[in-house]
Amino acid sequence: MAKVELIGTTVGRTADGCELRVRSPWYRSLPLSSVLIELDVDGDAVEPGRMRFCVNDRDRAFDELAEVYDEFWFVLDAGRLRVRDVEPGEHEIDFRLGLRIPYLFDEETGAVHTIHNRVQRTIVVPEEAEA
Amino acid sequence: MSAAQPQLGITLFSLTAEYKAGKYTFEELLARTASEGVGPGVEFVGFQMIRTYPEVTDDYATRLRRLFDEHGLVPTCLDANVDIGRRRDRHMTDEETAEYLRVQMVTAKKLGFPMIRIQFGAKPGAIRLVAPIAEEMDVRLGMEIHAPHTVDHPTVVALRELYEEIDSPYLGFIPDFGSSARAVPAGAIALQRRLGVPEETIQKILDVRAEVSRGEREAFAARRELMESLQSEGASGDALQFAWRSLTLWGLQPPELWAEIMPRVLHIHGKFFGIDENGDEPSIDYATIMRVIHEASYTGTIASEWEGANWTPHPDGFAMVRAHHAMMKRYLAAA
Repeated sequence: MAKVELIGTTVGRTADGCELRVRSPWYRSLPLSSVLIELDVDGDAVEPGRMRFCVNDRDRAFDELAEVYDEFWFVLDAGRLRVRDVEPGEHEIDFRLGLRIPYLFDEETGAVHTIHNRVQRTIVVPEEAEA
Repeated sequence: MSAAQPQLGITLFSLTAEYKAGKYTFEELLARTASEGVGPGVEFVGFQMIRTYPEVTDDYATRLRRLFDEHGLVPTCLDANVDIGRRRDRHMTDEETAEYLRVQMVTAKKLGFPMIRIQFGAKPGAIRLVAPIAEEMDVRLGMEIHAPHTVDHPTVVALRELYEEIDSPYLGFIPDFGSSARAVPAGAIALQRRLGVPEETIQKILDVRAEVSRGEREAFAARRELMESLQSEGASGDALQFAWRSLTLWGLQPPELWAEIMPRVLHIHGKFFGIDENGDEPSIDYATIMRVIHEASYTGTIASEWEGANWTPHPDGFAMVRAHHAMMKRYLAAA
């Protein structure tokens, strides 16, 4: 079963936090509105307002992402999850990616099928941003 | 062997694992399809291979058509998607669905495809809107019948009636043989154990499938209730995925029932999960299916669609499709 892939254990350093790179577990590009992300760092849930998701060279807040149903996360591209207020050093993360599969739905209830993926890992946020 | 035979081909979906792992680019998949001799028919999912999909530029279309020509490949069917749930707040309306399909039909036409695959998100109202566009553009619409749907499911029956009413050669079906599986592949079950899905959960999922198989439960309702039950137990994403797949990849329609719709079959997804040492598909009764195809004098394309990569350590989709072609040729030669 294809799984979500979190690229690397040493993640990106941003001015005010870190950046995780994520590959989609699905076989095709999906609308950005399909993407549902939750993250815990060191056991604490990260407020959605501290995160932005970047594909197609543009990063968006989660409430904005939810509205973008006519732009797609290309299947071969890594998405970048930018998280504010994460200090350099080692952290335990629990990352959950839900993907609403927009063509799979229950004919009776109308519910759109959602797949769930999870990665728990120790990551390192470097002291210095990459040059 | 009779004179008129189906054309064989591939859907590049069979190479999903290797494509996503970066082993082949889209262009390399086309070249390899030719060199492996698993054409001439070529099909792919637009949203898998084309970054700008559902649209393409004229230059891109020209380049891709040139590649098809250079490699001697025949574009058979472009897999469109009917993303009815792409908005969070509601499903697409029939008008929105028709427009979403029209855009993908324009792309199919530009790329030289005579047909798009559509899905059940396209309701009868949307089909009525899009049928005249299909005739005008000379692009056919093939509704994929994929498990848990079967030819006698009420949704499919309603569409069969609509097709009879409109009676257009531009409207038809694409059977996916996963709808008529006879078993869950052993490799798929072994994978669940490796993923740590508890034995009793695996058994519960297989039991529900067996109940559907005996006609004691309806497949869609059984799938929904199974998912709800596992969710309430706090089952893992892997367990939920297997539960979903148990009735979505390995459907329970008797294979001989495909005969009922063969006159309106435009294209076929030759779904398979593995080929054994005798050259047969253990999970799907191809002997019966190939007889049905032969008796219907079907001369469209059968696109080999391998969906066993998930539990295969080092997937080689081209080798699998070669083996699948060999099996189909054996049955066709004996027919």
